[in-house]
Amino acid sequence: MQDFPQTLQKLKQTGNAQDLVGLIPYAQTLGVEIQTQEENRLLFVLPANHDVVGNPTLPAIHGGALSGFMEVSSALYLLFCSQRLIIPRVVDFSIDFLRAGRIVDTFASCEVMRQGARVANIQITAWQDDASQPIATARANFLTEPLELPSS
Amino acid sequence: MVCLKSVENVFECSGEDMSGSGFNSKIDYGDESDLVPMAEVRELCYKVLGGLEIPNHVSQLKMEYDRIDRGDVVMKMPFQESLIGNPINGVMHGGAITTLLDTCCGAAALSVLKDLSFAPTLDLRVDYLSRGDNQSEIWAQAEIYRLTDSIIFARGIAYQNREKPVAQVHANFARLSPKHTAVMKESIYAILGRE
Repeated sequence: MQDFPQTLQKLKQTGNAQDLVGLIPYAQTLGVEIQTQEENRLLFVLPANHDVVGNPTLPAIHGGALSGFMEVSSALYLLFCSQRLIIPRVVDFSIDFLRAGRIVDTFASCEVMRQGARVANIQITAWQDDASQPIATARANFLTEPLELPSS
Repeated sequence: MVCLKSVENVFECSGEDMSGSGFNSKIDYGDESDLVPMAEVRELCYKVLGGLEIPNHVSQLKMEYDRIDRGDVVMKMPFQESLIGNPINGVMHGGAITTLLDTCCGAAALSVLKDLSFAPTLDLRVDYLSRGDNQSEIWAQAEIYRLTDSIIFARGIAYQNREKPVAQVHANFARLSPKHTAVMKESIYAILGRE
């Protein structure tokens, strides 16, 4: 997508986080939704959907789908919330599964622990009915590559 | 089979053909007669954890099992525009690769159980070793490299070109108690339409 930097800058200026999903096909495929909360905090939602079933006997959400949701949430968070215009490239991702995820809406919040000149470290927490009972916690390191707007 | 030279020190590859495996771990999974029959493991993977009859994430991402052996599984996933994570270079999102690796490690884990069941993932770490390309299918191979009475340790790689892995994974799985295993087995048989 050639006009990605301009489109991203526009979304950041208008504060429309949900439209970001349309720029990342994988986030669209998972059906990720972004809600903007108080103090511009972003809440990520993975709506309940049988396409994310991993173990059909319980049934439980696929650990990979949950990982992918948390990873793409953290990337979207960096795209939208970084002060500079950047695109994150994931270096590593680590997740702890704390409880089986059921086929209900799953939520995730992100916190940037450090944003350096080149690397961002971010922590992600996912829960379903009760935010105090997370189903998974994760952390990721991203290289944050600057995006340049065309000079014209 | 070509040994994965670029991860030689990690997986201790000898460069020799290891009966179809890219790895070189000689793990004692126990007496073959004490383990879940491989036919049941394959049926569980093909029909319950994947396949088109029940909606699931494995088929949504078009992941396929290429080979399921005891503690050693190979899978593949076609390149799909719907899985692109970076709109500038068009490469697939890390989350899709993580899902392939998680599925591959999970199948390897349940292939070393004593009875037909699942092994819940405790944790998983993926290192993205190189940027993938934006057209080729992606492969994954996972192996079990350590087993205890409670925990199954798995590791694997994802690659488009075997000489240059895209990602490496370590994942640990828990063994269910005999009681929970029996419940799981019953549920699996119910889905497979067996007594």
